[in-house]
Amino acid sequence: MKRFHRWYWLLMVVALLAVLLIAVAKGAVSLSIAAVIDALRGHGDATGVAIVRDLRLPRALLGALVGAGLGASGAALQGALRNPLSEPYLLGVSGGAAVGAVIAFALGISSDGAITLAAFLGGIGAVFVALAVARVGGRRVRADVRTLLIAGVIVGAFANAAIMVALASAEPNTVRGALWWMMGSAADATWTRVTWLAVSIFAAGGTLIYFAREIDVLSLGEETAASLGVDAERSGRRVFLLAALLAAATVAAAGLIGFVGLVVPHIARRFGLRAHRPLIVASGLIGATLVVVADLAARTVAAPADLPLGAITALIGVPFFLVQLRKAA
Amino acid sequence: MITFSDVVVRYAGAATNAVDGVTFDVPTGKLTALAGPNGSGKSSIVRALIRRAEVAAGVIAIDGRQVKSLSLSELALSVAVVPQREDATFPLRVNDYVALGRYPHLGLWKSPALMDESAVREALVQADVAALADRDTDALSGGEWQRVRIARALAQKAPALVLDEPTTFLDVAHEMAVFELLHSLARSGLAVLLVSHQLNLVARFADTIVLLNEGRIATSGSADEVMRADTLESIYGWPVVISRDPAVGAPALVPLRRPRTL
Repeated sequence: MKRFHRWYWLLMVVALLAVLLIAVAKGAVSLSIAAVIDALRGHGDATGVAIVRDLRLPRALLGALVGAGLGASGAALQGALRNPLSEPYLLGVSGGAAVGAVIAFALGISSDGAITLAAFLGGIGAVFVALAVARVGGRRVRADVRTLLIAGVIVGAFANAAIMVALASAEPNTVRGALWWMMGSAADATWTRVTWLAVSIFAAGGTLIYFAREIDVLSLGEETAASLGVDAERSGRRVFLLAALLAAATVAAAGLIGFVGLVVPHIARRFGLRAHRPLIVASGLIGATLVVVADLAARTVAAPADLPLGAITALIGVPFFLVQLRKAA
Repeated sequence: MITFSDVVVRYAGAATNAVDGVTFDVPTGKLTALAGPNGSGKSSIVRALIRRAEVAAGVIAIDGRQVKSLSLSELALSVAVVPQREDATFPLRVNDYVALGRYPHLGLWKSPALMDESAVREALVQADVAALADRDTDALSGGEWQRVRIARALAQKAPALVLDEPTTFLDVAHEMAVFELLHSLARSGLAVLLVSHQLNLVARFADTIVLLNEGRIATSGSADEVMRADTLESIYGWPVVISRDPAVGAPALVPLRRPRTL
């Protein structure tokens, strides 16, 4: 196992700031880094300032926040569930959020804020259903944290089925709206959305970081955790809920962006991190960097077309994951 | 001292009690062994002690304080447990793994003080794994991993230590080393409860043997009192003879081959 060095933190922060700067500079109108910095401070020509401040910066920051949320959520879940293949979407969050969004579309709601809220509530609702399912399942057998994961998968599958049924007879507009959720995109970034997402990510992520040492103990297994004074069921549920909050906030803001929550914690571990406090922070930084890069690719590779961000992260994530599996074997 | 008084453990949906009115003590400074066939309730007693199984009746107390009235972290400060199974999904450095034994003292945010670091160092030395401190837990042999887990429990610095089958998968030398270690830990003032299948080793090392059968105590006492051919034959349902360990004279169990039928 590689040893973690303190300067890796600097590396991670500098990498994130660098890709943010590049993401703001590149696009249909490419700006020099100097021009970007001028525009950020409100100097230079008005078009440049508008492009940077109103379009690219919120979009880049939204991508960074989505990546941070998914990375942190994945790191906490993998530890608490003791499963390196866990990821936030397995909790049923994604399916639930899509159901929320589709219901909003079907009701003819077009306000951006209302749809975001519906998706968020759908995601959280699905998690509570999963928790209830797990409790029913856990009554016979002593509740296992992993029951939660299975319950999440079941609820997610049910939600997906519901979407399929709803979309079969839906208007083209509803279908397009629902597809947007399934493909993921940071294109609709607004400062309001960035602010809401930032508040959710820092609140839920901060709470996860507060409980991080409990996740260290939880990752030793339920019996050992109990012998060290940690109530495995209660603290497992807590991690589950916080991770779901993080994921639901990102899904509401930018749709489904796959593989980030799965792959990023593995990258963070490659730096030699194991304890969950630094692991969650590093996964946030790396996830942010990765999604900003993926979003830059999404809007520049086939410009002027905007490719679905979720597809780009999967295209990067799947080969990476296969390489990881090969190395582990 | 850990005391079990008329302890009953019943799992939801089970027809019979897993533990059915068991009473025994685990005194300070002694090595107490809990033996018995598979399914006799040994692990259920350990699970009841750390509140992973509910005590339907009876009382478990540590130094006079009822386990059910303690918080989980108070419990962790009173008794350290090495459970039967544990797999590290994500490998840790041995030193960091053993340091997790300090969690009951540190909680969520307190950073380790000198006392915590010295407890970890001492535990590494006691379990004879100090040389492995910088290794990763996935690069350990089965014997090393068991001793590292014992070190983690020792770092907890609780007055009582409970181990559930700590020598499964270990070869003769490592198994003997673990028993020697537990014996000396008991002599150094810990109350040690050892759950083990290894009757012959238990007979040589334990001060008291509690032999369980179908959730009840079949017999208990010194090795000579417990290791009797008729008792063991009826509990295990297998013909045995008792011989003597040539080195220390402790009773030794020899299970017989079944007579061939023509």
